[in-house]
Amino acid sequence: MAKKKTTKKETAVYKVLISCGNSDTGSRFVPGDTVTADDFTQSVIDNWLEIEPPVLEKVS
Amino acid sequence: MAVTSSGKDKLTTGMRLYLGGYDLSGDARTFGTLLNSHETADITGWSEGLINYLAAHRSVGVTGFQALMNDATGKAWGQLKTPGSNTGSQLSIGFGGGGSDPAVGDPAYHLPSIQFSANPAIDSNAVVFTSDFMPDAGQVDSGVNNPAGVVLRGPTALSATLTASSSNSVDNEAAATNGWSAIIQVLSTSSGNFAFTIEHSSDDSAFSTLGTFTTTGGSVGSELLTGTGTVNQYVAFNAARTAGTVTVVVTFVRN
Repeated sequence: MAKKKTTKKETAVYKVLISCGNSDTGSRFVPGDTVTADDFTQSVIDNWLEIEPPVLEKVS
Repeated sequence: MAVTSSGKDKLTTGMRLYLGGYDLSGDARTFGTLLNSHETADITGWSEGLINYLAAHRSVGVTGFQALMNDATGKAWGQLKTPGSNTGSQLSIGFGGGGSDPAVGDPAYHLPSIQFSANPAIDSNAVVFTSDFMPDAGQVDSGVNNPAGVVLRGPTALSATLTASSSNSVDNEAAATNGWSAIIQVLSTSSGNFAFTIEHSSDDSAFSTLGTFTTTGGSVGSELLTGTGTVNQYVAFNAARTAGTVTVVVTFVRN
């Protein structure tokens, strides 16, 4: 019987370029830190990738 | 923000004028105009029916600011008696509601200023003097355009970290992309050591830094901070405390 192939979903990682934080959770990140969608909602991440200057940079 | 019926509660008892870290409101009598207008450029062509215009250069400044000749330390006469010496200073006016000090969200008018006059006169038996303030070319950059904005922090002592959040943010209803300016007035300090930042947010909970003031609140004074690019819908003042107590006023303007 053939072995079922499973695909693990990759979690996108973003490098912090400008200091940011989540006032709801109290978390705080400085330039050089990395964050994921566990830290901020995807809509916030998308906004921070698009605005000038960008707050985040996608690294993987 | 102090709110009463329809926000129509802006009285002189709630107005404050700060210059270079000094609150001159107690000596203030009146002013002529807070300038905020564009020159007109008539671009009407022969074949057009209506005379029509474009907005050209913007005029900003404070004219006819009249103050009592209070010669006590840190008051109007001491701070304003030498026109021209306030090059590199900043002027902030907050419009508090209902007679209260300006608070988060209240209207504000600010500019990086030079003072051009201090003309003594008599008004109703009181000795007064009148000053004009115009934009300081040495400070003006692309982030300085519109003088009308909001108060992000009123004159209340800070002795703990203030975190940018929905409790102290101002909602502009949408993002803007034409840059911004902010002025901080450090009115008093007791060994203050803070990191003062302006932060913005698209959802009122995740905030990123828009700009960081150089001052850490260790001395009385003021500072202009400007930037280009996007300002998200919500803006708030953030003060990360290391030590001490300060009283600061912060105003913010989107262009």
